[in-house]
Amino acid sequence: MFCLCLSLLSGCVQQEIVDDINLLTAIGYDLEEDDKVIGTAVVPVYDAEGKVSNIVYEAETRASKELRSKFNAESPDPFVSGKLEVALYSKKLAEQKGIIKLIDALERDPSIGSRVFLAVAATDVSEMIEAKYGDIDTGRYLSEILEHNSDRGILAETNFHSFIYSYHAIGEDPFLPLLVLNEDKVKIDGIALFKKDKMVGKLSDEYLFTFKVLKQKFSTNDVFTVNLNDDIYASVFNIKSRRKFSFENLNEVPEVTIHFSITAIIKEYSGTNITPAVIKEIEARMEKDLKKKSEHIISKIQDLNADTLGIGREVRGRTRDKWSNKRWDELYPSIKIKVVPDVKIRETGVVE
Amino acid sequence: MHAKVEEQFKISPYLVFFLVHSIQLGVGILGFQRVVAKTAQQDAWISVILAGASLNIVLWLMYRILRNKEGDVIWIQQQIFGKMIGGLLGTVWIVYFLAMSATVLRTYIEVVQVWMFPKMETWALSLAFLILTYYCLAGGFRVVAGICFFGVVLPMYLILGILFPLEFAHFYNLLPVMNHSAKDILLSAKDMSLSYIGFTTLFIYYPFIKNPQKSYKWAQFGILFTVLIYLMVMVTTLVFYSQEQLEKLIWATLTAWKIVQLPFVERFEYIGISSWAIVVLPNICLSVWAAGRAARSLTKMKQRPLTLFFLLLIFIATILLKGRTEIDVLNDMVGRVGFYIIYGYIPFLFIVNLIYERVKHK
Amino acid sequence: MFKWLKKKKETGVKELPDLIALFSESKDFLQYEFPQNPQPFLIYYLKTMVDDNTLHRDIMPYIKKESVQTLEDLKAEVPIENIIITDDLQKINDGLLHGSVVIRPGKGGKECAIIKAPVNFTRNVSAPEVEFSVIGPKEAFVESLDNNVNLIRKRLPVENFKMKQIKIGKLSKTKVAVLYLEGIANEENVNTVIQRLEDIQIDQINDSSYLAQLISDNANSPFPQLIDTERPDRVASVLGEGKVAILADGSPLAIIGPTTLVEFFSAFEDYFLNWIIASAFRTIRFVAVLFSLLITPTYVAVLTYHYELIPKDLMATLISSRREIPMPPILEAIFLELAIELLREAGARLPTKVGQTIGIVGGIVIGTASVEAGLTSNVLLIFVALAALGSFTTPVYRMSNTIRLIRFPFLLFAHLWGLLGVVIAFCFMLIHLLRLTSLGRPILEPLYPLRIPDLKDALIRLPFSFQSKRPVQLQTENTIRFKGAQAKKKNDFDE
Repeated sequence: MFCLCLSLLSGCVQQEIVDDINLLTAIGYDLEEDDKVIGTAVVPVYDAEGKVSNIVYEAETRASKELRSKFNAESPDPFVSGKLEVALYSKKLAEQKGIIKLIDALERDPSIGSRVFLAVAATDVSEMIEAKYGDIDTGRYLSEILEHNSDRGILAETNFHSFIYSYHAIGEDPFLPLLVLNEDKVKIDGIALFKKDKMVGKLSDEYLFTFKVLKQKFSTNDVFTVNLNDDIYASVFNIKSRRKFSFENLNEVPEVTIHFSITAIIKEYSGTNITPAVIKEIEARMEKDLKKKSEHIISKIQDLNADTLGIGREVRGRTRDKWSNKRWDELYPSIKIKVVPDVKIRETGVVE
Repeated sequence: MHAKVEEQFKISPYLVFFLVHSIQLGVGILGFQRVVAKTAQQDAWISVILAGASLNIVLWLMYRILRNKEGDVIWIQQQIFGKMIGGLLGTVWIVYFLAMSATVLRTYIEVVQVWMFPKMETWALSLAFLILTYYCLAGGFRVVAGICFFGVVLPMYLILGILFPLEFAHFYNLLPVMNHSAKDILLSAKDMSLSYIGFTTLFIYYPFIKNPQKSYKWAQFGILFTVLIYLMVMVTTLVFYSQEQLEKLIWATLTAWKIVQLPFVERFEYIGISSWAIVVLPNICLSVWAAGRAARSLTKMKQRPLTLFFLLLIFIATILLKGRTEIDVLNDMVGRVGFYIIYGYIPFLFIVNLIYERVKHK
Repeated sequence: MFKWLKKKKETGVKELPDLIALFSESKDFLQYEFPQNPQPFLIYYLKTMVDDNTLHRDIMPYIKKESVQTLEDLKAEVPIENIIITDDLQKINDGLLHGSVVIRPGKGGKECAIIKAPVNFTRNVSAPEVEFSVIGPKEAFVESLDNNVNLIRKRLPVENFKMKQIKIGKLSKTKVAVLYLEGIANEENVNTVIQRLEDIQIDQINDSSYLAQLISDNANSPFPQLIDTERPDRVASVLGEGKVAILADGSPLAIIGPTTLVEFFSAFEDYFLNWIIASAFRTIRFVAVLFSLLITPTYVAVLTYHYELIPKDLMATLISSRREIPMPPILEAIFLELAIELLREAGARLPTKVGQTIGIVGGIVIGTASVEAGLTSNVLLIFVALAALGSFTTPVYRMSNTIRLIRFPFLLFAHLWGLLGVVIAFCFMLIHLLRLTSLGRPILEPLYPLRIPDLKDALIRLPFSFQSKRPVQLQTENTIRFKGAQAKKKNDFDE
């Protein structure tokens, strides 16, 4: 009687019992010669002792949901995508085809979370997914690298939500972290700059910190090192950064000034004594360094006509009625963007 | 003859706050942002306030119509317009209430089907809800008011879910303020008012309130609270999404919940959708009750068989409605009728009633 | 067993000898004659119901006295009050059955003297077992009505303490007492109770719980609607609030009403502790109950449908704990819940010492073994054990039974529709509770209808200075309990 009841009841909705499904945690897309997309997916398998092994599936496809049925054909349990952590796109795919069609499937699927990480792989995607990273599931490994770096590190805040936010936004272009596989480790190698959904250029990893400073307000525990001269250097940490825009001549050709103020604490100093003069010097050095790097970033994105910093959106928020998308597109590469850094060292550590 | 409501079945005036608020807050709030922000864009929050403020006047009109009367609107209409026209207008109310409950129920089922259980049978969930509704209604109006009360109090924790997306807020999205013409903002306000409808059930349960005129301030508070909640959701939505992104989102609130991540739970939207059943249930209960009560004062039949019949009707309606477009059409229709009732019929009734009272006094 | 009674009905006893003949069929019925007396008396009694001491010390010597010639003489001499001289057969019958000695002049004559000499075997007042408290009085009710009323009256020495008595039960003829404070308790509540008690049609009342079931507002609800307590101090306290108490002879439990749902989760010990600590404990109890009710259904719902909800750090633990288990989560959960219920039931039916052993054996051995055998996951085992613990924190035994029972429908709904099912089951329970009343008063009060003054002693217990008014819910005739302390002036530091 009881069992009868249960079997009747269980007919109603689709069950997804947690140990009878294949949880996709990372998926990667690569572009092959004849315009075909190869999808690679990884599924963690937990044994009773809690050890993890990863199984990789590969299939070629046009629509990304088609992938799932191809994977299902060779898997003992059905695939579900609700626990997807990372989606990787090969550099080639991002540069040549654009990724919005693949992303659209993620956007439409209610089971995909907003905190999924998207990234561009500079090296081969399937290799990155197939690589063994120790006793951990690959998706989680990749997502944790991105997660802690964007939460507290030098990577500007990025996830699925912020990508589609800036993709759709007028006056802003998205960016994604750029990953490389280095032997058996994955490393954040820089920032992939997008124009709409196509990758148009990259910033190398030495600009990561400066990019974050330009992009958002944050505080981080990461260390920033300043060279005072050849053998004396100082490291600062516990950095708090705030950023502000100011504009002039908004209605004609806007002139933009980006102010940012940074406070930090000295963690390491290779010289002998930290005197107020030294602090002044460190501050000045940092300002100079940041300014140089900022100017490089800005000239690069202006050259690429990619408004990664969202300056268009800022201008739009300050102009009434006069805004026009087309005009801005033409204007953007040539507007003047100035950077005014302001660095303050607050503490010098626990020793004098 | 008109049946008076026994003292023991009446409710305290403060409960009107919950009755008014709970029926305004239905499935609409899960996805009203897209429609409202379509014309006014970043100024949509002004429309939310404007539409809310206009309700203040409507509510005053309603209380003015009901003042010194011991019956519900059905009875008043029959007094003013006579048996025939009054009866016809009464039928319109009944159909309106029924359509309202069917819309809410079907839309909620759709949300469940799209977001949680694609294979969920419409009839199964609909049946479960209607059984609950009947069980609630069989306990009388006090129980209906009770479920409205808990329907407001218990899901309060969902407000937290609205605050979490602020971590990714871009407040400059609200700029430039007031960059739209008054016409655009009013158009959005009109769209917004569709979310606010439903509190017209007050016309039916008014005789069930102890010291009804004292409940006026509670009703106003109820509306104010609704406006505050809608405003909060709207502002959160505007700063969380870019405008062009929002235009694509059918259920912006639910999508925003996806970003919530707590140490013990991820993906808040599943909790939100499930908990929303407690918000939806009072909605259905109150409007079906209102339909039943209205039919009772119209036909002098017993409320129990009438209610059962109505529940059957709603059940059939929810099964027959299939897919996004049909549900959208129904939503739109009910919204439009509600709009005309609130801003057209109620002022009209107010004027007619005023004349009627003058004439009668002479 | 009660053959004689049936026969009486069939034949119809008209004369005293018929009655005597009826009783004679019972072995413990004794009749003696004292022929040596100048006035010979016949004496009848039920040996099992009469106190030997009273009989031999207070009755026998006077019968043998020469001066005693008539029943009137006897009445004057025997040092026992309330001797009735009557020829009413019904009274004689009742007297015999309740332990009286019936004396009849030997020469005949219809009149008899009924002398009360009942024997009372009751246990002594002992410490409460079900509602044990570390602090506070250690008295519990016993099986004697008089004794129990005494325990309460000692705590309420006021003249408006009223006791109404009714006899209920065709066979058991149980004395039932309704206690209340006149001028405080709402007349309507008292009348409702008396009315409902009078309407009861039943043959036997063996315990006051019979009454609780018979007079409850909705007998088909799993939720109790009246509290039963074994603590005289609790009864005295709620009488002071304006509630009504019902006691039955032969039952060590008093029933109190009208009551509210939150009262089922308040232990009387809460009043012995400092209000901050008491409030904290109460809060813990509510959390425990909610936890106990919802944790296994949530487990089933999440593992069956909502894998997305599981944080990624927990995923590995959950999946690997379930890896080897062949059953779906619902069967796993029901299996464990049933195991716990079995343990509880076995423990309750067995003598205390054996029961404890069963508890340990069951808890440790079965639990560990079933995890190792791959029947259940260890995560669920923890949840189920915690849920069981949670349900035991409820101070009123009846309520903790209810909570354990209603977990099963929640489980089924969780299996059916996941979290949505849990919410729907919760809505069902909520509406049920909204409809439920206790002696006509809504049981969810003070939450709904919201009565803010009554919240002072609901989810938390505020200090006594806040408790100067009686609960609104009871609609008492005198709402002031005591005059609140006068507002203290705010002093500056060190003044």
